[in-house]
Amino acid sequence: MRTNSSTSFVKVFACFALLLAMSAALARADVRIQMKDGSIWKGDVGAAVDAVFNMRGVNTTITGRLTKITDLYIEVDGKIAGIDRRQIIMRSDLVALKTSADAKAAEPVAARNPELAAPDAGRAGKGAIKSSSGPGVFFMPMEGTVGFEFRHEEIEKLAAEADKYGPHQILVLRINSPGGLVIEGEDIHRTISEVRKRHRVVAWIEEAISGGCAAAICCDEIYFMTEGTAGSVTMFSGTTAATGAQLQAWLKTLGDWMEEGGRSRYIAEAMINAPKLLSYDKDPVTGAVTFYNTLQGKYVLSDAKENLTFNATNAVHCGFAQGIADTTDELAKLLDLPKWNELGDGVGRKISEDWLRTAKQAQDDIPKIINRINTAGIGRDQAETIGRLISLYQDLIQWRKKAERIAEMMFGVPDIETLEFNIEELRRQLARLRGR
Amino acid sequence: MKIRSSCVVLTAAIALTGLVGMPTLPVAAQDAASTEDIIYLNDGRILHGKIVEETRLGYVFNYRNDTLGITTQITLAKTDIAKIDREVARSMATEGAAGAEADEELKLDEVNTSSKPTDMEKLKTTYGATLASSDPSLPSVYVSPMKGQMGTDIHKSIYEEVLEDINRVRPDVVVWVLECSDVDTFMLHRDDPAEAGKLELEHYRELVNVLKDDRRIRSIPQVMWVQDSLGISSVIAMAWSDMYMKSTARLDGLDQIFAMGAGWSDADVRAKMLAAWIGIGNGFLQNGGYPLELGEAMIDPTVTLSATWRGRSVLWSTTGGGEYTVDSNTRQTAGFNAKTAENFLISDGTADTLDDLMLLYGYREYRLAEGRGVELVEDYVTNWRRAFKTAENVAVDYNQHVSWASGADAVKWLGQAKSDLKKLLALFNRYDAVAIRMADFGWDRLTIEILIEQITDTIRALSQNSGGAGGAGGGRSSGGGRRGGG
Repeated sequence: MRTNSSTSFVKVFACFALLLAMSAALARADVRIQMKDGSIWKGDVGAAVDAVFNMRGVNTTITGRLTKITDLYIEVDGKIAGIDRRQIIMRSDLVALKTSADAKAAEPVAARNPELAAPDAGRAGKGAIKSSSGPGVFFMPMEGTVGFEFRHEEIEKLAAEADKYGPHQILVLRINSPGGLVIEGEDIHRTISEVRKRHRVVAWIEEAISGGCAAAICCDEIYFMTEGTAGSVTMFSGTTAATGAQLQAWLKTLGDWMEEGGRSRYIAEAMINAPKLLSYDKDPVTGAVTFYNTLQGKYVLSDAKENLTFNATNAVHCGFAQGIADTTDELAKLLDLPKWNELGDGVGRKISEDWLRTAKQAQDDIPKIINRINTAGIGRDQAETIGRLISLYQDLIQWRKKAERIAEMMFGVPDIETLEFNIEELRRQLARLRGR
Repeated sequence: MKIRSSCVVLTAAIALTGLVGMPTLPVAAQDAASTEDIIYLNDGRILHGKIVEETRLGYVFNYRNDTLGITTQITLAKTDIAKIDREVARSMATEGAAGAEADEELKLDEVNTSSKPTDMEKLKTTYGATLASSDPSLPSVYVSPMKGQMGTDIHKSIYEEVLEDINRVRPDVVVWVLECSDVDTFMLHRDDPAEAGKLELEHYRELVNVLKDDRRIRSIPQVMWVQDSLGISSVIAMAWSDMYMKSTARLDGLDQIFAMGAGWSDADVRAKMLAAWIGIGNGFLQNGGYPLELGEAMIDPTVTLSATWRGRSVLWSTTGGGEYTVDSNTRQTAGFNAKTAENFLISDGTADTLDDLMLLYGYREYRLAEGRGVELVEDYVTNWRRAFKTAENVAVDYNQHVSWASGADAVKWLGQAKSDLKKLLALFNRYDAVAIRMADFGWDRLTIEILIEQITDTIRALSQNSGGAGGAGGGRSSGGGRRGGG
């Protein structure tokens, strides 16, 4: 015979079980997302989707797996232009969403890229360092001439440090550069494109002229300082700008880089070649920007006589940049971080300082070494002179190894093979001298 | 709340209050103009003049206003009076007071921020704003000059020291007083091109960033007060959103930025360079909250400028169509004086004195912060320019010693020349401004270091009496100061 207390217990348990069952049912319920055109997508987290969204004025498609749905945004893990991305799409930017037939494309990024599933990959992967100070960034100032002080090697080092914390870290590159070598620009593009597959790369612009701008547009996001400038990416040699096939190739290359970052290639063209036109319209309601390579837009950025260089206000107005920040605290807010927190004990600053110190030392030492080579014979006999020259050429070899581009392109230091040949020849002379 | 436009100086006597009572006690005759009576009121004002008559309730007083140059008879109630000094010699009187006898303008070079406050309140009343030397409840103002040559007198190194002092003092507002012009006002004055501002925009951008964004003082409001700005200094002038101008000030000269990019023969390269330099220059104006169109017109002479007022703002256009044509000349940049800058809302007002400025800024009373801004900057300028003179002389000496370095005394004079070079290097390392100016003559640190090495080698060769050591190793045949050469 049941007592009153046991009856109550059964009732409570039944209610609880019912609640659990209802929750489970709700979890399996379809999610509905309404598009701007009124159409509705129904599905579930984990579905394979093709999503079209507005990214900085350009309709961009991502095919992948729907990993998160909130009231404000959705998250899709997939591919854009063949590059793996985990993309957050604000609902207000969503143009179209449909269930994808491409199941393979819907595989998680890590499954397609086993190297990213390595022990130090994954938010809490085995071996990954966990930040005890909360979310933060890997910050690195990048300044100077592209190819000399401003190099891809430092970006690689920074990314390697960030990898220790797992993927999806935020790398902030503060850019202050008047430009430089195109060849280095290509190395930088290649490096940043690789890094973007696993991390979020942000350009924070103080000055990004020419090659500096070419580096900035490779990044996921661009922020300006109030006094920031970016543009003027005309390729030239000596005093002459590239023309003909070389110009066309550069227009295409930089246009591709611009589109990889979700920006209109017309911007790149106007930055390279003065006759290229650029204007845009901005929807007063949605803020969507449409670029034209004519002057038909309400806002003209570049006419036939001008080369395009952005300042902060027009960069943000047209969507080229995502915001303006003058301090790290302001930038943290724009990056949706609770506060500015540099991970890795400021390793990015150290990487930058170390290289800048080396670059400066190279620019001090190499001309002195060259002078010493030219005056090696003063006050020395032949044997002493040869000995000194051997030592100086060895110094130049060290600089070729440590700062190759500076040594070669700034000071015309021969390649290592030539220097070693010179040393061998000097050793033979010395041997002959001593053999007399 | 800021008050626009210059104020007309009002007769101070009208503002004074007093009660009139029946004269009962005639005042004794006083000395003539060599002495005066000073009345200290309870509200802090100090009045100079002569007591004419004392009544039961007050004084009839001939108040003298040196600013206006008038004397007015007023009546003051005894209850309003804190203290009276009678028959004070006029020279002594002005020493202790705030300078009623002196020029009514509180000129920057009269500001002595290091002087200790005296027992008496120092008050100086002008048409509106009042400077008090004590009373910590009043807002404090820190003044620092930016005067002379851009890139040398105005150099980041000294302003980093000023920044430290500002952080120590923690004033309520900082006033940067800018006075730089590459061209004097008078046509007959022969401007020294060597004193023109250096076109080091990156350096100036760093300077602005340091002064505006340093975490320690970012919360302290800053005001730019332009005494005159003709040349590259105008980028500094326009990098602050709160900007005032002296009535005689100019705001012009940014065509130098255009010149930096215009020298390329290839049209595409020139377009690139121009766009880059104009963008960099406009970055300063963006910092000051100015629109891009204004910057373009102030930098690029080919750009015209028109303006349309919309309430309290101005819409600028470089494509014509504005209500008012500001600059239609396609061979000249747009430039402004105090009046036009104020009319077009580029400046926030025109102020000839610090008191005027503070009144416009909204402080009816203020005090000077006990900072060392003026002293630091003036000392720096004096010291680096002295060092520069020394460097010029050392460079001349170097050339002389090198020219003497032959024959039996070669080693001796080469040694002297090496010593000269080391002195130069030390001066360069002490003051970057010296290095910057000496670069005009072809001197730089790397060249000096290489010359030292060459001379060392030569001395060794001569000492060993080995061959190939003739003459002076690496002596410079020209440059090294105006008196150099040889």
